[in-house]
Amino acid sequence: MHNIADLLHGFQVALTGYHLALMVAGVLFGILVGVLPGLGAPNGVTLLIPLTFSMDPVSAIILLASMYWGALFGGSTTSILFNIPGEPSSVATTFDGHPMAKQGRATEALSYAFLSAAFGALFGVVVITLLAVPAAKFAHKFSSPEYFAVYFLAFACFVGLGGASPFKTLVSAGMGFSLAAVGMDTISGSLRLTYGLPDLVKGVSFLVAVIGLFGIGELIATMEERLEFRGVHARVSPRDVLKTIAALPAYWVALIRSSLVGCWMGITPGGPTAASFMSYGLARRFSPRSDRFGKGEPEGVIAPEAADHSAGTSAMLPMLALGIPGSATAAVMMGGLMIWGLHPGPMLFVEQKSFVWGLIASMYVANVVAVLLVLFTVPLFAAILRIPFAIIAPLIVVVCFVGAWTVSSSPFDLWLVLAFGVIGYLFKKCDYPIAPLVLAMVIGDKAEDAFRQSMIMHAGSLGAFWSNWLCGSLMTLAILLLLWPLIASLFRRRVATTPAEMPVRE
Amino acid sequence: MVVGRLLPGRESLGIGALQQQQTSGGRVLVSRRGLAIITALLALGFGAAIVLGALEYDVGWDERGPEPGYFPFLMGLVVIAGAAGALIEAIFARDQTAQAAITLDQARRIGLFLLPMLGFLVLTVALKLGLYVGMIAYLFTVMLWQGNYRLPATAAVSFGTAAFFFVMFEHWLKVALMKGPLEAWLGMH
Repeated sequence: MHNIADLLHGFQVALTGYHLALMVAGVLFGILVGVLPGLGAPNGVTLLIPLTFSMDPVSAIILLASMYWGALFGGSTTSILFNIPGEPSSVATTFDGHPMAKQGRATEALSYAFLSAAFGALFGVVVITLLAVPAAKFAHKFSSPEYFAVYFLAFACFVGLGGASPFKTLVSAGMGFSLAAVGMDTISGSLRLTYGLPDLVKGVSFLVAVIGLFGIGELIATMEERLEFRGVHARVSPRDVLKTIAALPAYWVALIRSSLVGCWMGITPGGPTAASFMSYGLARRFSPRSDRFGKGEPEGVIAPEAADHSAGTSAMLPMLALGIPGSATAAVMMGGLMIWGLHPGPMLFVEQKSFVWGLIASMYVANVVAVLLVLFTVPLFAAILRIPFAIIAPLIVVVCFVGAWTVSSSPFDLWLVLAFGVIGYLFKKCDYPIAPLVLAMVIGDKAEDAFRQSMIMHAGSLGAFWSNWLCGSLMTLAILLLLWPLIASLFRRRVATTPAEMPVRE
Repeated sequence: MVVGRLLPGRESLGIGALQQQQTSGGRVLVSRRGLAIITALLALGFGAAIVLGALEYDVGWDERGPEPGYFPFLMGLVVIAGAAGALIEAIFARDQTAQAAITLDQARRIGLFLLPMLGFLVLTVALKLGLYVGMIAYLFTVMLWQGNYRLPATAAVSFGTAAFFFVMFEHWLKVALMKGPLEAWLGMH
């Protein structure tokens, strides 16, 4: 078992004082970002990336990943205490979490949420540990056509399995790819889509887009509603936590099913949001107490939380092994990797062993750190939400613009943030998925290069993508997935079933 | 927490008095169908702009594969196709006709949120006054005008935030934020 030796090496990397401190800092910042509406995991990671430029890549990724785990936990806290999901992926947690809190079972709900989240996260990390090397070995056989096929498959997954309107997914992905093409073309050197504006020559940074789409867009949507934080007070006592730990094994079916759903949705780019909704739906359908769902059923907290976190962690697997992020946050992190000069993909496992295994080991440690921290800091972070929103919102606005400036010190980027904010708001209002846009912006250049190199290799024939069984089956699967909404609608016309609507927004 | 107690502002957590009005029952500015159509049309416009931009270069293929304009051109077409589909979906949707997407009250709240932000950017970028001046002016305006806070609290938060960012970025992280003539005049670099 090579994995074990590699993992132990990873723990040596992760378990230094400096890295533990980074984990604590990352988790705390993450919880803060997760608690505040308008700032989410993708946004938080984006705001931190410019500050990691001078850091060692391992330290930087440990900080960013820990922030991600913290944000996932923070999102659940506000869902339960305030009925306001701090993260889109914790919407499903409000269904039963908040009723529990209102019945005076806030501690119980929070403990169930955190512990099942930790279970899901660790489940995801174990899956990564086991699958990372085989996946990377598999991806080792890839050349340009295979890479393009995998990218294509990732977007076909969004269209076929995403749950949003396939047209809207196409708009989102197409916009992302177009924006990625702005500026200097890597192959020919020509300046594309600049419309004569010198500010566009350097391209449109995905970091700026994420800050606008998720930060400002989310804030506009929040502003629209009259926000009232009518919270339930909570102080987590160790005895209640222990009681919940004792009760948790009874829900083993839900825990394992939800974690599996999460892993599946994290590895295929469905993302944590879709995973948590799907898992909640499954739990309600199969639970013997399904009539109590929505009224404060612990299983209704356990199912979305375990799925959310296992999707969040397992989204790192395709990012590391294939260079395809499984969620919007993973996409941003992958963008960070590329900025630090690393090439996500199978070669990472050969060239950057310490980086990969340090990250994987840190995921074990940081999730444990995160559970402990979040349990102890619940009252503190709940108190932050009692600061009037009239102060919090403008402060978040300032943070977003300062963050956008630090990306490349360009005043033009500040205008872009505002524009992306409006786009993000419209997307949210009209149920356009945002994740495909972010993914497309991050992998746009790589996808286009892979496409053009395949064409150069095969004298401009599209047969390049069916030149061997691996690439051919990936492409065929992708095309089937693309056409899936069409096939499904034909089926549905024959067998009238209720469509399971699932908003895929991360 | 601490800040919340120190600041004797409005207890309503939104932006000032306008937030007090009811969300539900407000007059409809745009229906769900209307907004879906507008968004689809905007996406259509975006796609068209990409296609036009791509046409600046050859969008065909030469013997070695696609020309530089090919990929953006194709993506522009994808956006147009998707937007056209979404437009048709929006027009023929049955269930969302009457529902409100944005009520007048909501629009007003969004406007009140966006307007100062626009001012922030105009001061910072268009008038080149820099981020520090921009953020102080922005926070000052929002808190005093929309949050109904008193002057001392407003000044404390806005200048405190600028000072925090200054120490954190210029000294600690060694990242220079955008500065204008005021900082130059004060001799800050």
